[in-house]
Amino acid sequence: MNRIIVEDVSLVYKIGLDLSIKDMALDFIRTRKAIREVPTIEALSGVSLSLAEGERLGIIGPNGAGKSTLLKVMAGLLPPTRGRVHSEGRVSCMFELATGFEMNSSGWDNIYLRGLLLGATPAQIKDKEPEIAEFCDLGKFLDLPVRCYSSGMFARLAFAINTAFDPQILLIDEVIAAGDEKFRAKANNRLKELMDRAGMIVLVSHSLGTICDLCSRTLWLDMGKIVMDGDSDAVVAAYKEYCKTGTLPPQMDLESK
Amino acid sequence: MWEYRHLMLSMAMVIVRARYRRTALGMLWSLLGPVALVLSIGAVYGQIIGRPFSTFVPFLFGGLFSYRFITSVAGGGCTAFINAQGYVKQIAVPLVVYPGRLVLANFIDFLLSFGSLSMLLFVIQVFHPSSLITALPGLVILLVFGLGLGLFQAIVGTIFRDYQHITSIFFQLMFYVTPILYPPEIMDNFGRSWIYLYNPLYYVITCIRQPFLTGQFPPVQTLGIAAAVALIALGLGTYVLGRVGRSVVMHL
Repeated sequence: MNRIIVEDVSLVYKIGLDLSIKDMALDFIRTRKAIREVPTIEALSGVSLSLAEGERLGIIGPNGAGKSTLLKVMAGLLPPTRGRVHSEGRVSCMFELATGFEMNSSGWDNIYLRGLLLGATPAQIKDKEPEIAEFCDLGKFLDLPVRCYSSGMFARLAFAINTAFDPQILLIDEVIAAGDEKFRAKANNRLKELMDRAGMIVLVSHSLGTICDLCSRTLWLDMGKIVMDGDSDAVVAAYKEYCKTGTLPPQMDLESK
Repeated sequence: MWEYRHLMLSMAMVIVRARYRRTALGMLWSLLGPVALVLSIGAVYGQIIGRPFSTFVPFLFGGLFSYRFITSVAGGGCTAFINAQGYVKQIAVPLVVYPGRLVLANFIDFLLSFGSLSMLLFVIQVFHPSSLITALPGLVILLVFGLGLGLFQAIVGTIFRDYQHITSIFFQLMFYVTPILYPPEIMDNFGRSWIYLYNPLYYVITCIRQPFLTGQFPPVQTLGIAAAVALIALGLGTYVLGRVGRSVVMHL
């Protein structure tokens, strides 16, 4: 049974200052204070939600709202500062598409490596290879080292691999935007297909249309807090209203703590 | 870790192959490089020190190649997570994979150097076939030690970026402190035996070097100390990794 439970999670980034001893000494001479305070950013504060099998959650909100951080916490990539995350099921993430490749290896080798990273066995990868190659439609480019690829090509390859092994939980951060029109349509189709196969999907996007289209439930995040959580159409409508007029929905007071 | 053996091995091979990328001879350099090194240093240095080629070569290179493995792991370990940022930040594979691949890549390289050294010794007829078996415990110890060291370096090196430079100075120093270029007996003559007797690297290296010199197993005591050193390193590395865990991502 796939599920993710996020319990009262807060996450504070400590911003590592590029401060050398020389800077510290100069600082001390100037201000007479020994240690400068380390700036922190509270990316998430007190977020709770639970996701069950088959759910498709969209996450919206302005830049810096904590959307990507929440996704990474759900994926187990970032440890929460407070609170707990509990997840069951194989997670596959699509975040920064141009990273996580071996630049000097060919597309084929990267399919193999990425497949292993996603937890597939060598035999499973061999099985899926033709399908991945066909889906990303990169043709002869697969024989070339991926350092020659354009960003759109990276996106296609990554998307094709990450969706090939029937991920049980798929976390996506604003990626379908890359790639050309033709591929985007194909990718949207595949996402729908994947969702039908009863996985769980969490999608972060600024494209409200895509959210309404693909997700039944939507989470509106701002300043690391949940503003609204509910039916996609309602949340997206309230969010649009907020962006236009700056007024928060009436139920916001109920939902936020 | 066993579950990720395919992953670590293929990622290690990427590193090994990258070293010889676009070269005409490719991985053959792993075999040729050491041979050239052995011949040149062996011939010149052996003359200076006045020891016969046949005993000096296995002594020097048994130590040198082992030490090179250790320093590569120690140095490369510091940037194991930093260089793998692209993976670490978006794929939830256990963190041990990244230092693991590095250790494995260096170990493959080490084995290739050792293979070519053995062939060379075979050609000049000072190779002990039994060393293929008697060196096995030493190889296991070296690998375990490397893994522990790699884990430790990767975590500490990511959090304290200065550590990388400290490491490189430390191992430069250790190169001269550890009996690699000179036999340990020299220290005995000066009454400074403690310099190597308290050096954990000495035991690890001896377990590899001894079999190549004599074809026999290293003394049980040496093996025991080396094994303990390796296990302590592994314990320390695992502890640090477990303690810091995923929050190492915050330092990338």
